Amino acid sequence: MSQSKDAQRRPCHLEAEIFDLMTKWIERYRLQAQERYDRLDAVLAEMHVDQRPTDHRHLEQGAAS
Amino acid sequence: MSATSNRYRVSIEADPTVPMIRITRDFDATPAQLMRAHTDPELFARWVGPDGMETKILDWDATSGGRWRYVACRGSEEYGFHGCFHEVGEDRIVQTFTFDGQPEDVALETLRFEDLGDGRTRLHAQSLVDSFEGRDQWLASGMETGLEEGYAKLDARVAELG
Repeated sequence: MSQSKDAQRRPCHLEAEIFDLMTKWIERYRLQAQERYDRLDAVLAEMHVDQRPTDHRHLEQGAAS
Repeated sequence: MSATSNRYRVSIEADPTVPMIRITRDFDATPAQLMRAHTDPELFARWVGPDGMETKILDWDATSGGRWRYVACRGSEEYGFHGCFHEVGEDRIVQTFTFDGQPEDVALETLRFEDLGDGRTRLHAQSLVDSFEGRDQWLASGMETGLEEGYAKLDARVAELG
C-alpha cells in the first residue's frame, strides 16, 4: 500500500507482491462497501417517497374522474 | 420517484501511517436522512448486512452513551456484532465496533455526514483498529487469498530473498 520513498527502497518484487495483495483486498472490500451503500441508496430513495408532500391536485383529479 | 439513483462510487483508503480504513461515498439525500438511515434500527437492518443475509437487531439505543448489537444470519450461519454509541450528534456518529468472534478487537468508527447542498451528502467513515495486522485482516476477510495465506506467501518470498 505504501508508496513512500522508504517503501521503494525495499526489494521491488516483494514490494510488488505486497502491493498486489493489498490492492486485491482493498478492491474486494471496496466492492462489499459499494454493495452495502447501493442498498442504502434504495432505502434513502424510499424515504424520499415517504416524505414527499401529498399531491392534492393529483388526488382531486383522481377523485373527479 | 424511481428507486434507481445515481450509483456513486465508494472510495477506500488504507492509511499507511495509522491502522485506519477511510471510506467516502456520496448520496442523493440530506444529512438528516442519512442520520436516520444509520440510527433507525428498522432502516439500518435493511441495508447493512452482506447481500443474502438477514440482519436481526438485538439491542439498539442510538443515543450518546447507548449501545447496539445485531446478528447477520443465513440459514444456520450467524455472525454477531456489537458496540457502543459514544456520540450521536447532528451530523456525526462515533461508535465502537466488535465482531463477537473476536471480542478483543475493538474498532473505533467515526461517521460524518457532510452537506454538499442540493440534497446531496458525502459520507466520511473511518475505522481505527488496534494494529496494522488487524486492519489487514479486516480488509482481507472473505478474500480468496486471506491474510494467513498472504503472509505465508510473503514469508516465502522473504526467505527466498534472504
